[in-house]
Amino acid sequence: MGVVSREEVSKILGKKGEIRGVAFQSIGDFILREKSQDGLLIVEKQMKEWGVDFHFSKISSMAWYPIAWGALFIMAAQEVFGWNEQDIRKMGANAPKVSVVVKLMFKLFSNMKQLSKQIPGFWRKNYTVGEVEVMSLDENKKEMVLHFKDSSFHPSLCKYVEGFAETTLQFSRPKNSVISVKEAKCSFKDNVPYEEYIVRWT
Amino acid sequence: MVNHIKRKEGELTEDIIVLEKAIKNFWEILPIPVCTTSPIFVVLETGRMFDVLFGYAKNELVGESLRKVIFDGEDSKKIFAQLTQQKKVFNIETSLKDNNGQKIPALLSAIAQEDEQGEAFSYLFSFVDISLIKKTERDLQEKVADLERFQKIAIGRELKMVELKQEIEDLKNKINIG
Repeated sequence: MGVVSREEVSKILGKKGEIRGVAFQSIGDFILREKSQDGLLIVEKQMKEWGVDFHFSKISSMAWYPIAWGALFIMAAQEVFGWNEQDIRKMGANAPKVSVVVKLMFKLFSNMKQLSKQIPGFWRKNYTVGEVEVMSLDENKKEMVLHFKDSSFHPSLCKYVEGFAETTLQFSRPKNSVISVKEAKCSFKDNVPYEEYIVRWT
Repeated sequence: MVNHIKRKEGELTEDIIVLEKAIKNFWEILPIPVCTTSPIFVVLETGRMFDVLFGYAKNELVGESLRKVIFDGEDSKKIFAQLTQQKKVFNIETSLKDNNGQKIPALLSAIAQEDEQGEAFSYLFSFVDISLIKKTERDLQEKVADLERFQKIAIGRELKMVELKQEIEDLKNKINIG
């Protein structure tokens, strides 16, 4: 038995909502870089085994696809390559570098307050369900608290979010500034209806 | 009403897909090196010719400061300050640096992308490699210098000839008088 159980897959497949194709392209880019075209085919095969007839080459970055597919694409890669949470975090960290939404549509203000106002809208540009809320922003402490609501799929994906948020925010910070994004509360472990991430920067 | 909204949404998605493909093709085919950066000049997207000019793989520079490709740190400071203030710079002569540290003379232009409040949220840069123009300029300067040297020698020779001719004339006159 692999990392992901059949029950988990069924549960994820039951999730409603859609995600932009750009997310698949970001994930696919990482798989291609790490495992080449053959690796990507193995992931597609795993997805098919889980009941998802998914072809990466047919994905269009601005089109909408079932959100469950997005989660399962990451998890299939984790399953077939035995990737750990750090690998998934790296995958998330790579994603903004290839995401047309991040690079063209997200307003990357250097001012944290202005930037924080963009975050909820950014989520809506990519997903039709769930939301991100900026719970607090303390510019003196250089700390921001984010809540991701109605978008829990699997604990591994929380690591993807950490990496993704870290790189995206780093785009708007000077090179010598260090950004860290850490999950503080998880709906899978802490009996809360959201994922809480704490963003800190220097 | 719901059907109408759904139809509109569908059409918008189709339009976005078409536009996105057009933008991608544009980045791919544009013969000028271009890139976008965040407001603090972190590279976000590079065109194919940008990667070719600087010798980087696709997305290798994404997340890095644009300062990395500008040869002189002071120069980049000045350009970025001017751009932040004026929101647009045009044909600034500067020196760039490729992946091997080689200097590339270039003309840099850039424009800010602003939100409704006039706040810059990204910049679009273009670079024109003027290595060939600079080389031709240097070659021409060398040729001009050669010509000047030749002219000096030729004129000197010409003057000497005139002088000698005059001497001969004078000697002839002396012989005739004698």
